[in-house]
Amino acid sequence: MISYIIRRTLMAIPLLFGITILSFAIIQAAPGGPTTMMMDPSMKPSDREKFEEKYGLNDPVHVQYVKWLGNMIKGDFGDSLIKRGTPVSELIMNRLPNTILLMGASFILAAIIAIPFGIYSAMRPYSKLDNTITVTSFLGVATPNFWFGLILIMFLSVKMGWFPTGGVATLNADFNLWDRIHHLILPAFVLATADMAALTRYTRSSMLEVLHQDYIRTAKSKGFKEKRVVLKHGLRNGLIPIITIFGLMLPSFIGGAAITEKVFAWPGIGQLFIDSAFQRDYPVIMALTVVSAVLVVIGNLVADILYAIFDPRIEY
Amino acid sequence: MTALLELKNLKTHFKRDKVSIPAVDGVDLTINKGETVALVGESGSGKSITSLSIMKLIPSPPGKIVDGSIIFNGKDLVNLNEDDMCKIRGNDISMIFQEPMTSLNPVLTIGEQIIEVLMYHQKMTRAQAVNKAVEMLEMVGFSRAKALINEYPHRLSGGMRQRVMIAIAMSCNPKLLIADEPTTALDVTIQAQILDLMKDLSKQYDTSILIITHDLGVVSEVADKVVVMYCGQVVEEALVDDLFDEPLHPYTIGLMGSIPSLEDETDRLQSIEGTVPPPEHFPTGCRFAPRCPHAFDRCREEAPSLIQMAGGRKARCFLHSDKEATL
Ligand SMILES: Nc1ncnc2c1ncn2[C@@H]1O[C@H](COP(=O)(O)OP(=O)(O)OP(=O)(O)O)[C@@H](O)[C@H]1O
Ligand code: SF4
Ligand SMILES: [Mg+2]
Repeated sequence: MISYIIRRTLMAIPLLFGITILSFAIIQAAPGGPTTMMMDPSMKPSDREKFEEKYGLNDPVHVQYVKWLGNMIKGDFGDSLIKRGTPVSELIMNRLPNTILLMGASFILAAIIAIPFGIYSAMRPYSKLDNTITVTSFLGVATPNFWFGLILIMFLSVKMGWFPTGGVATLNADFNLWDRIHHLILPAFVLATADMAALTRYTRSSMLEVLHQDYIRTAKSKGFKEKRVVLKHGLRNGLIPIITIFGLMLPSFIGGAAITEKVFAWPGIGQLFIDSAFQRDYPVIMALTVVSAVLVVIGNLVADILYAIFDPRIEY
Repeated sequence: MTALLELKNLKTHFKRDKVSIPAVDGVDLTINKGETVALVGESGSGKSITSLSIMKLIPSPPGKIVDGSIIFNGKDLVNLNEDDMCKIRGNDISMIFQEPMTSLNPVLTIGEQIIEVLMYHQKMTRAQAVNKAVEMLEMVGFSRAKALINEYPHRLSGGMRQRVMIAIAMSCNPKLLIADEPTTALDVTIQAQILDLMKDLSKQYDTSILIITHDLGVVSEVADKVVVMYCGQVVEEALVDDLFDEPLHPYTIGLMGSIPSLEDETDRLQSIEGTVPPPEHFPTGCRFAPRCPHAFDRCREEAPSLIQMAGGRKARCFLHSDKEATL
């Protein structure tokens, strides 16, 4: 098992390397640069040149990349071009916990709602509740996060005043657990919807297939009641493919988090990413790309390990 | 001899597009204590649906027992509620299936799959159940039963998995074991071992067996009594020796003609002409008439009933109506 994990981690290195090259190229290909997008328009051309010179922005792309890569390997992501002087790592570390909190809460919310509904749908396919769940999940998949988020803010926060409109906590207040949870509910729910809906569908189809297997007939022939047949003999088999789905959903989940953070003014790395992308803040964008890629790789590794734990047929 | 199980006029139908499909259409069948009864017939004749009806495991919808009774140990299972039926399944009546490769749960250990039944029906503690599971695995022929308890099914061959299935099925000492083509998926030497094992266990524990098979070789090997099914009905019933001495129904005679003989490979495919019609297209009159070499006019107009004959034999054929025993 340990050697399997090490092997998988080593295999991820060339992948991460490739991702950095690609992202670097794409960012450079985008029109404009930090000086045209963000700087004070009244800045003198000579100052602008000085700035570009100082940060090496006029070097050929491959030179810039090698320089960046060398620093990155040493753990130095450089300074933000826009918020001058602030190290990128500091910017990220201030925000990463917020993002992890939001994603974790969403993920748990998605799983604890989607899996039971999916199981029920598979047990009673085409029943009234199953049909309701089906329609709702298609709506959930089809609804864009940002739109759903704005609608909720408009009705539940602005009109009804039940929830705060954004942020992680009330400003300038002492730490208060309920206040934190209160701020978390809407963004976590919005981020969870799309994946909750997809997950319900996956769970339904996976369980539906499992419930037609011969070993389920065996379990019934042993005299077990339906609940035990489904939960003990069906569920573990049905969840095995779902674990892989979790891994595959992670990138879109990170993308969804960025948009949700923006809508809810949630100070996480997603919001930082969007802002930096508009401002062409190259060092921040690159660092965030690496961080998300690492998150995805870790997520998939965890999924593979869980898969191996759940399915005794897998040998390392 | 006392009857353990009596099916009387059992009808199990499937609903498809509002049409009722008579998969099992008036089956009478009696299994006595300790007796092994073979249920034979071509594919689609309703053997599996008969056995699943006894277990009350017909997929519903679309299936439903629409008429008749299933008297087991004096109780009619047709009217029994699901909770009471759960106490009988796996305990008094257990079942093994044709597909040993897929009938065991891949994510549970072999031990767990036996232990759970013992704890559920026999209210054993886990420790007691573990001991009993080892004992059962030894009984079905595993020498390293203790180690096997913690292993998963994917490591075992088909024959070994079928032994595990038998161990599970026999663990609560059932009164009736239903085996739906238990050896069809196995190769010949393994087939013989599994049949021997079933014979031994049934003798040792006085368990009745209902064995479903296509294979008349298997029938002659294990059965006391044979029930031949065609198109959802019983067409002949006889003690095994009587049946092999002198099959009465033209369908049975046809089946006998299709036993593959090892000496003559070319004989293999010489079976009954035509195929079993699906239940929605059962002919009126004798259901075998379109394929029967002896069919005459009456056969196509009138449906023969199952005629009781001397010596406890039964046949559903006009050719034998003169032999009806006056009871
Ligand atoms: N779920 C179902 N829905 C509709 N009809 C069914 C269903 N299951 C079985 N039947 C019908 O019942 C008939 C009898 O099926 P059954 O499985 O009992 O045959 P069998 O004698 O066991 O055949 P085999 O030797 O192939 O196992 C089939 O012809 C089929 O048309
Ligand atoms: S009743 Fe007629 S058709 Fe049917 S089996 Fe007998 S002879 Fe053949
Ligand atoms: Mg069958």
